[in-house]
Amino acid sequence: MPDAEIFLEVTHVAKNFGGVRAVVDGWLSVPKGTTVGLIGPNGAGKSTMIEMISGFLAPDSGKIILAGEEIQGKPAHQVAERGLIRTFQTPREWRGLTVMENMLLAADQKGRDAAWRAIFARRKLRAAEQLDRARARELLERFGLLALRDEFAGSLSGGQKRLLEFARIAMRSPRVVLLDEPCAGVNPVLQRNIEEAIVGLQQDGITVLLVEHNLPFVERACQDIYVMAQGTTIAEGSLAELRKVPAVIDAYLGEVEAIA
Amino acid sequence: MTAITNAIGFGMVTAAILAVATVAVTLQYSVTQVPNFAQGDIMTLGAYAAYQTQVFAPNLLLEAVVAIVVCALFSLGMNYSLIQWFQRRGTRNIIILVVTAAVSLILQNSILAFYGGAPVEFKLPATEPADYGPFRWTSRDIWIMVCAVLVMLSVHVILRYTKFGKSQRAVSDDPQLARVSGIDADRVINLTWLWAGAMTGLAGFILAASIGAFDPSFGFGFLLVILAAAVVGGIGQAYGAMLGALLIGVAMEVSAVYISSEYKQVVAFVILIAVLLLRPSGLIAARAKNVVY
Amino acid sequence: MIDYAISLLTLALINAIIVIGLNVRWGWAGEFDLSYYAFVAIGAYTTAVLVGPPSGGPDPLVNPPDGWILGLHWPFIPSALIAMLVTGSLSAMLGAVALRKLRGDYFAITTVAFTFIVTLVFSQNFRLFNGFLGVFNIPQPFYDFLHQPDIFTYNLVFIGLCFVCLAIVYVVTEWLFKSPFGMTLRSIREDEQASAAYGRDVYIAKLKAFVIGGMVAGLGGSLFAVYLSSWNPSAWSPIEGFLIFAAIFLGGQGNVRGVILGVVIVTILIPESTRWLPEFQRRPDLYPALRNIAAGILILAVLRWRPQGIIPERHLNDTRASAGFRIPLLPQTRTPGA
Repeated sequence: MPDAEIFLEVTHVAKNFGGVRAVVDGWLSVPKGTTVGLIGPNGAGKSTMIEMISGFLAPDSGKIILAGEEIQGKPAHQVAERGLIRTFQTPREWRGLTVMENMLLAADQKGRDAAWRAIFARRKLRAAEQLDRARARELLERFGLLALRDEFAGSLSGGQKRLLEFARIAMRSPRVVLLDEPCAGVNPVLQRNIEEAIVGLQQDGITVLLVEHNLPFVERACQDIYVMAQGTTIAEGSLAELRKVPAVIDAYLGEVEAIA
Repeated sequence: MTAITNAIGFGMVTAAILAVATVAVTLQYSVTQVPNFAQGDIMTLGAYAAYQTQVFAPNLLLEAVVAIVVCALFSLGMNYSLIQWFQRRGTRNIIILVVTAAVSLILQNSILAFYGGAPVEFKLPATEPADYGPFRWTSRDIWIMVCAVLVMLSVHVILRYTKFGKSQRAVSDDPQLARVSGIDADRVINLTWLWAGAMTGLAGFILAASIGAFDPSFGFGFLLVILAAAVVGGIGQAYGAMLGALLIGVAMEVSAVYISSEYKQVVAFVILIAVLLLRPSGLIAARAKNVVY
Repeated sequence: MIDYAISLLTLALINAIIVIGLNVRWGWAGEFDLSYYAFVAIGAYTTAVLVGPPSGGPDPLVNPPDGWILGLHWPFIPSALIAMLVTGSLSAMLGAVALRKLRGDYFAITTVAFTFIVTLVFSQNFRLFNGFLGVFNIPQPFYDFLHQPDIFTYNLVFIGLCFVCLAIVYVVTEWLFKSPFGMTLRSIREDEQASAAYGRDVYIAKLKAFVIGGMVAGLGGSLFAVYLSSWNPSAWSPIEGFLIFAAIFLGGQGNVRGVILGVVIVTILIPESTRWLPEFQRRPDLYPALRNIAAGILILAVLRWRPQGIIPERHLNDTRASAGFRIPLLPQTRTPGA
């Protein structure tokens, strides 16, 4: 897609953990509005890439550019404020808060959560909250969670928590989403729901970077795929193209989900 | 120069006592991931146990043994009946910290209720200081340091060469992995607490022996210095604990030459805060805590 | 009997203010802060020192020799406000240092260290704070203003003052709790990383909670100082600080009503329950020790059997939260693709 604007670009990042080189040379670029996959065997450095892009870790070298702005080394909350939201390998909801509260928290606060506003701008805050609640209800309905809106998020089933994650992302309407193995350990029915949710994100024009092991799923969802092995990005292309690359086949030798 | 070498001499004795207690805390922390806020009060327990023994049957060795046994059993009981219960339910570490603080409260006040707040006297044979090179020590000081060195050596030997030591290190590195590899992690943790408790009791006895008079709150005051030494050395690292204790002990005593001795503890705290800010993994880094956000 | 009830009530009100401040730091921000009581003490000392009359009077007990009181003799309200400013600023400083990189146990250790240092500074500094003797004969607020009324009337006035303070603190903290700021804090308590992933500056939010808690502590301390009309270092230590945690655990974290209930139990019921027991002549420490033991056991019991506290945190039900607004409860149309 040579004409599409590159929205997220990672150039040659590296990360060292006291002697363990988690990422040696990682690079990828994600054009705007597309979904790009990041695959590779376990320990390839994919999660570390996600951590660095989302601001939870600072790369030792290299650049991460989001919509033209360099964000490497910026703390996580600043990256999130610039429109990049990530998920974690296990669903991370706010357990002791209700589903509705989880949704309200996901919304972009735009400074509404400053402490002084709580005292001096209460009416405006309440009005904004009502709008958020209405939107949250719509989204919860879409994901089939509306009936649970006053339940504690911690009491949801694993599948419901995953769906809540997507509902929260939709609530936020970020510009970019990093999905860290959303289908890990998930049954086929739920997986279909997750695929639908990702399609929903794509339809909303959100740019997606997807880390996954489930190759057929990656094939269906992504317009471009990067392969990492042993801390380095080794190939890029469609799955059909990648199947022919010897380095990729090597990397997957011994992996259960061989490219068949 | 003599004042400073004197102070270093004192510092080494303090460091010796500190080292024993700090290694105990460190071992506990390495398997439980939470510093035991009751540690200081367990030392007090040891001191009072020794005192009580002295009341009935004055014999230095017996007193030490009683202190060790009482504290070992208390620590084991604390872990077995409380800490483990909370950990099994996946309680947050900070709550477990609160639990140890509650135990500290209960223990200290139980001792206070039983013995009263007035300091008790621990009778010791009189000793004369003598010169050992540039330092000035009494024979008691020498005994204390010898004791500490023996304890350190035994810790080293146990950790490195015994099956228990290897299991202990496995559990402290990665409890899940250890369990999966067939190690009875719960048993190892209980034994670690027993061992650490024994050392704490010994430290309490030694501290009592070197101070001569103590009240129920004296252990808690020491706790912070112990934690300072543990953090400075690298919390969770037994060898770091020894280094941290040496550093803090000597720093405290040397500083007392220049500033009022009331502020000795402040020196320890300042070092603690400085290390926490600049190098939270301690001087001997174990696992860096990555607080990026 | 009435006097006794009045003094209990006053104590309860002041303790309620103090515990609300701690609740902001622990129940909302989720940090185990053993330095809290030190800030109460700082507030108490600040007010005591500002409110104290000039020195050099005929009676050395009433007007101690020159040097240890500033002699400002300010009225209570500006002094209390200054005290809150002082505790707020010190909270900001400690928070900037301790919250930036430390969490959990490391943070707790730093706060204990801070408390020890503060205790040391106060008990060693004789010029301003009279060391371990403490400040005494602190004038009562509004006493001269009301033309020195009799004790009974005055006590009622003082209760009124405490009530007003508590009401203000209660309302302000409730507003904060229900606001997006309060919800941000609670989310941080639940899962910091997830909050950061959704754009929350965890450090700044915790710092704000820390400062707010500190300011409330300053107010509580000020009231304590003038109520007791004296204040010295033995009145507080990390142990005292820990006891008010008992109140929070008991009552229900994050929940102002629960926390006040907890305070009543820990600071009123427990001490008072031993009041009518016979005195042990040679054991003055026995009853305080027993009370502390009871508090410790209570904390363990609550953590074990009812960790959410007696009155669990309220969550505003969505239906009720939306009452009275014209936006419909359920969407009228389905979004395509659902």
